[in-house]
Amino acid sequence: MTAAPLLSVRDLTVSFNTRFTAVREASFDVHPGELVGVVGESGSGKSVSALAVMGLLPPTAKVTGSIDFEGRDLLTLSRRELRKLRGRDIGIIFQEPMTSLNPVFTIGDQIAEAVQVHDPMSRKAAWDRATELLEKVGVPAPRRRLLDYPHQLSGGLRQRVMIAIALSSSPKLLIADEPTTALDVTIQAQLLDLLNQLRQDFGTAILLITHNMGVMAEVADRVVVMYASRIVEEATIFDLFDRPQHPYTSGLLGSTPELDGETHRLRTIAGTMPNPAELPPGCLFAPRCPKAVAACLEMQPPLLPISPAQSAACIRAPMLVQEGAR
Amino acid sequence: MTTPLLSVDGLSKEFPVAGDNWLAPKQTLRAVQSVSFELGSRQTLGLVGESGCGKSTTGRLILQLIEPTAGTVRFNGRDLATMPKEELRQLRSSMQIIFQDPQASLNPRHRVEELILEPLYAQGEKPSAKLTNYAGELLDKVGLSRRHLTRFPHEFSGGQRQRIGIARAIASKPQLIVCDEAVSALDVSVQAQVINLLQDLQDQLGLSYLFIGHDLAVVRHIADTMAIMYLGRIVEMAPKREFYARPMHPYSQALLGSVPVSHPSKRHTRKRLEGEIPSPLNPPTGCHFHPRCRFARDVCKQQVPELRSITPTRQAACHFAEEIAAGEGQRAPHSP
Repeated sequence: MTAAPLLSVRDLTVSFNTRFTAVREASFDVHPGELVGVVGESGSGKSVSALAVMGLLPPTAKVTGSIDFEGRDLLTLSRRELRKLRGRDIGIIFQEPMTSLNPVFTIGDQIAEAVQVHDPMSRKAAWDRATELLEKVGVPAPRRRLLDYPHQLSGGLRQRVMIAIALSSSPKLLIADEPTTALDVTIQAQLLDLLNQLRQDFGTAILLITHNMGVMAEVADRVVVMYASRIVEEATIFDLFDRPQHPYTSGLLGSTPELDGETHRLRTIAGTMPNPAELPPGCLFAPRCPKAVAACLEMQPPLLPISPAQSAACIRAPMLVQEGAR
Repeated sequence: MTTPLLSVDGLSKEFPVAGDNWLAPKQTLRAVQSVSFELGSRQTLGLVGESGCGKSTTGRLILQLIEPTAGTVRFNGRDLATMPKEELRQLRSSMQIIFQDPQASLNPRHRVEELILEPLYAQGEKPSAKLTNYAGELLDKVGLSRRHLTRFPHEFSGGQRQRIGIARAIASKPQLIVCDEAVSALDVSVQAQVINLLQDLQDQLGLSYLFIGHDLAVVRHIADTMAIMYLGRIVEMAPKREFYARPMHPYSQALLGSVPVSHPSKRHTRKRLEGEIPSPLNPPTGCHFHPRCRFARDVCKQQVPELRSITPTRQAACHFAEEIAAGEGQRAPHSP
């Protein structure tokens, strides 16, 4: 990509007290119109990274590094400036739409409010705009739905409402934190199609946080893989699936159950994620890594480019080229 | 013919539900409607469906945790509903359950040893050195170790807690374990470990599983036979290999089409299902699936399709299963 990135995160480190660091030296870019996925398991730091970009971390979090959005470092903005940016240029969708929607206001009130905050207009005009938005995100009979309260909608519809609210100001970047995790597969598939379509229609860049490699395969252009607070690999979606360079990525791909091919015994990653308070020395993945050598225990390997579009934080990375996950 | 380990016949459950307001009449939610199947020894039946389809209720009905409205559950040929209470209580050690959320199913104030041995205490056994030793063996079997016996649930990760849940389930040497979304809450790498563990235990202990889940990719790795549920009814049942190679019911096809692809090159290659699951309180007439079905015709709105044999090994509840199976199911024009 040659164009300037829309979002550029550099050396992002987030710690909650002296003992617990959730994200370490994370650097990644999101270009206009691009869908970048951040994938990792519980405790990998993927959600905290997203919250940092949104500026929604609690005040107790210590954040260093920089988060440039269109050339402005979000970490230096005042709360007020940030709030203006959020919702207008950056839209947000969370996992559980019920906790993000206000139960005592109708869907219409809530979408119209979002519309009016960023673009003052009459109530009538805001409701018309809300109808349009609901239609765009594929809600049937949108006029009637506007009068419903959140509890009257299914999980899938609520998530569509959240997307409509996020889109109300035509944001340049949409941050979606596990948006389909709580939903049934058929609804998840519908929403992934919707995300793809919105990207085509509006050119919105999307930062998608998920634990599901299949979701990545469905929608992502580029993927950042996180493990125990660090980015261990970054690659285009095809490189990631065809030539994973970090053993953790291979492990994650191998342990994902599939619908095609023979049912073999699932490959697993031995052991469990290290306790964040007692991190192993050297590479954080070394204790679970089938390819670990003595040198892995000595220092944390930096994230180094392997090709122009792929980097991995593994000292053995170039040697793994022939050993794709599947 | 030998008696199957578990034989379920016409199992139904209705729940009374309050009306929309206090004047409105009570409604009936038909959570499970005439579900029938058999499960042999050392076999795994994968029971798959989306939220609200009745799969978990079916699991609980089988274990007699809730009382069926109609139908029978036979375990080793014996009807559980007519069995004397005391006998049923003893038989319970042969039937266990693993829940989705190990956090919620393990008492936080109990140590691992008590948690694991609970099913034995329930059968009247008293704590002893022999039992402690046995609990240690169980922990070894599920990939934990004896030194964990004195710890509390909060000291473990989600995957480890699920292993404790499994150790507890196998403690009473059961023949049948109902796994209710047992791996759904786990991270992928841990999920794979637990699936492999369940398979190993099945081989070692000769267990049968009723594996309830919503993820067809996961269930494929553990089940021998598949049963797909939609709004309280089984819509298709088939041996695993045949099912995944050629699903016959339109809902099964749609469900398979919704599973995320395994490689980015397969994007946009699958049919999506439109619309949402209707309310089980007011399900569509005829075939419950007809409003979302690509193949629906008039008969589907009026007549409930019975679950019937399409081939000697396969059953489907669809008026047009043969045509659809043969790939001849044409998109019928939706009548207004």
